[in-house]
Amino acid sequence: MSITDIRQAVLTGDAEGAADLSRAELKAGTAPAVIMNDALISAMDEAGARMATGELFIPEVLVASEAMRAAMDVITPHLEVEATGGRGTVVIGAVEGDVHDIGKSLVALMLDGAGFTVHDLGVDVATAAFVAAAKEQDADIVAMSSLMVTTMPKMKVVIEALREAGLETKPIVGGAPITQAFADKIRAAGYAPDAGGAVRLVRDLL
Amino acid sequence: MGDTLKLRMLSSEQVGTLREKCLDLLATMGMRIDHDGALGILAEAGADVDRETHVVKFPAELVESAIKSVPEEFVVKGADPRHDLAIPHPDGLFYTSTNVQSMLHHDVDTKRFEDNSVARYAEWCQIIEVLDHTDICAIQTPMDVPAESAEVHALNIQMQNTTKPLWMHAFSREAVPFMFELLVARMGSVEGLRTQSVAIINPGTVSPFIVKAMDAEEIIQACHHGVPISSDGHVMSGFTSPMSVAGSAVQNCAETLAHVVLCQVVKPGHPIMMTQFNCPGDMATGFSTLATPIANVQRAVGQQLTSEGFAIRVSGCPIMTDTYVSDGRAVAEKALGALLCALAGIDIAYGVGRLGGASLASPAQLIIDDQIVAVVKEYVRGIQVNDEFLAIDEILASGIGGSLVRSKHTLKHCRDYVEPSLFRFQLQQQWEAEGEKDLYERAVDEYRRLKPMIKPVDLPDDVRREMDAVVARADKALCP
Repeated sequence: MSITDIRQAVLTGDAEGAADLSRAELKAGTAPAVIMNDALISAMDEAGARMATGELFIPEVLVASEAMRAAMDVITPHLEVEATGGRGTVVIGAVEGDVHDIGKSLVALMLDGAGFTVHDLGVDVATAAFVAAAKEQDADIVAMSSLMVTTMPKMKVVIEALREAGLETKPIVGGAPITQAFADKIRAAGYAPDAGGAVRLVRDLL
Repeated sequence: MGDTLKLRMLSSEQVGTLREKCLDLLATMGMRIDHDGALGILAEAGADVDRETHVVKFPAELVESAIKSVPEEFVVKGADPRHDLAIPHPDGLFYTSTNVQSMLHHDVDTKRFEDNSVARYAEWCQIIEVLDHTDICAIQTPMDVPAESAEVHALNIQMQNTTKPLWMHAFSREAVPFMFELLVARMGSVEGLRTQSVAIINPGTVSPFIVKAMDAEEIIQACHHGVPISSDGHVMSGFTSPMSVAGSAVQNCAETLAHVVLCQVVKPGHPIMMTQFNCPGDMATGFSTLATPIANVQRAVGQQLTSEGFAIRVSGCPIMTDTYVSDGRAVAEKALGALLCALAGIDIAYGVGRLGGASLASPAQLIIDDQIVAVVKEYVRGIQVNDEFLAIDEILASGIGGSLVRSKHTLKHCRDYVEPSLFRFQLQQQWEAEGEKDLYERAVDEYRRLKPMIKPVDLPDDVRREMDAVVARADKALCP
């Protein structure tokens, strides 16, 4: 057993294997933070990179993230408190008036799989709810999705509300009608065209 | 289309199986319908309605009763009756619609995607007015109007620039009443609109199994105002519906059947079609794909299920591509999709003018697609076999080693099929002399040729003023 084996178990979506190997690695004296960073997060980073090239498909990355989570459940009780925050905290939701869920949920799953702590507010999320969640969770990132022209303006409203509340959280945007130009115009910290891109963006911003 | 020229993807037994599964899904799982009024209407009609969760389960007998009351023939009307569309097509062919929503248009001069605008969209509608094989003008999104009332502005632009039937839908529930107010303003009164309905409205579902308040409102208002409906299911196989063709087809039909039931309960006999807007998810990016073979196979299966299983008229979206340029891939994808779905039997084929991505549009592609449709129609038109077309007398008269080029039969039929201009046969020398242009370049030439000839609709001043006043009211009510 080794870090490499745990990493491979995650990449192949073997949840039971990843959990068992992690348990054994802990027993062998390996620090839990080492397992988390060198095996689990590293595996998901590679899964994300392979998804960006088309080598892995979304369902395969999702099953890898489930394996990662199974292993995390084993090592989390052994982690130092400050290490359990993962790589950062993200609040995500579809803006007010927008009930399209699938893309936003996919981004949430991918971010979770990549080791971020994700709070998914769902769909039709009011501006005040974004701000409240960002405060409560001390969010590093607020991720907003919109799939309709009529709801796109809400993104700017949320960004301004976050600024007025004095929060340092970084707002990012995505959704089929969203473009980089639009994101720049509303002063978002970033834009991602798809779920894989969202993970890379959050990683880069943090 | 000839009686023998029909592609059946499913056997009759399979149609029966899928049909049964549609009804099972509606009866056991149901739909969530986020519209209080619709919930009340359906509860009164015998549906099992949970007011807390908004989930409606549809007993089979309610669904069957609704299916029976859907008219098998109706007319989709334009502001000008010359553009009315008798459904089904009297020659067994199909009608076409352009694409919705486009916020970006490919500009033939800058060669970039530029924001759609009032002026650009007006020109688009005017081009549609003069095309031979583009029958319906669909709503798009001008970006130089308030986003909150964009669809009301867009509908106004449509009606001021084309008299062909309009494919319309709202982007928010709050805009729905203003859109119908606008239609009434155009036609003078609600009765006027009921007589000449001007549009076909396109409510959708949010897969899996959700009907938004906006879409339920569209159905109710369309029934009241006499506007036909084409109900979209938006399944995305692998993400919101099963990966499999059969599973996605069943789910898409089940979802749109819920719209059919609501429609027929509100107004029995109101014209409604079911649309196959299946867009399989791309497994690498999570985005919808528009023109993959599997997308069109799903649509063709859904079309057959709709027409044979439910005897309901069907629309679909086969004139699609996943590329961002007007190239050979666009032509291949659009032609193959259109041909497959035409052979499978479609009443309205959507997508003329659309490129890939989040609904990009292109005036050059609009012109190309109009002519692709002309070509596809020739494949599915069917042939006639009778004395005239057997022409045995001609054969005998010409004799062994003879020529028919000067025969009366050839003279009479030499224009039965004339290739559309972009697909015109040319000798190589002729092509070289004309600049060795490719399809896109010739489409741009055609666009430039049409441009000086197109114009807005000549509306009476008082009608135009009333329409503009509706838009102003929408702006005031919808924009912060």
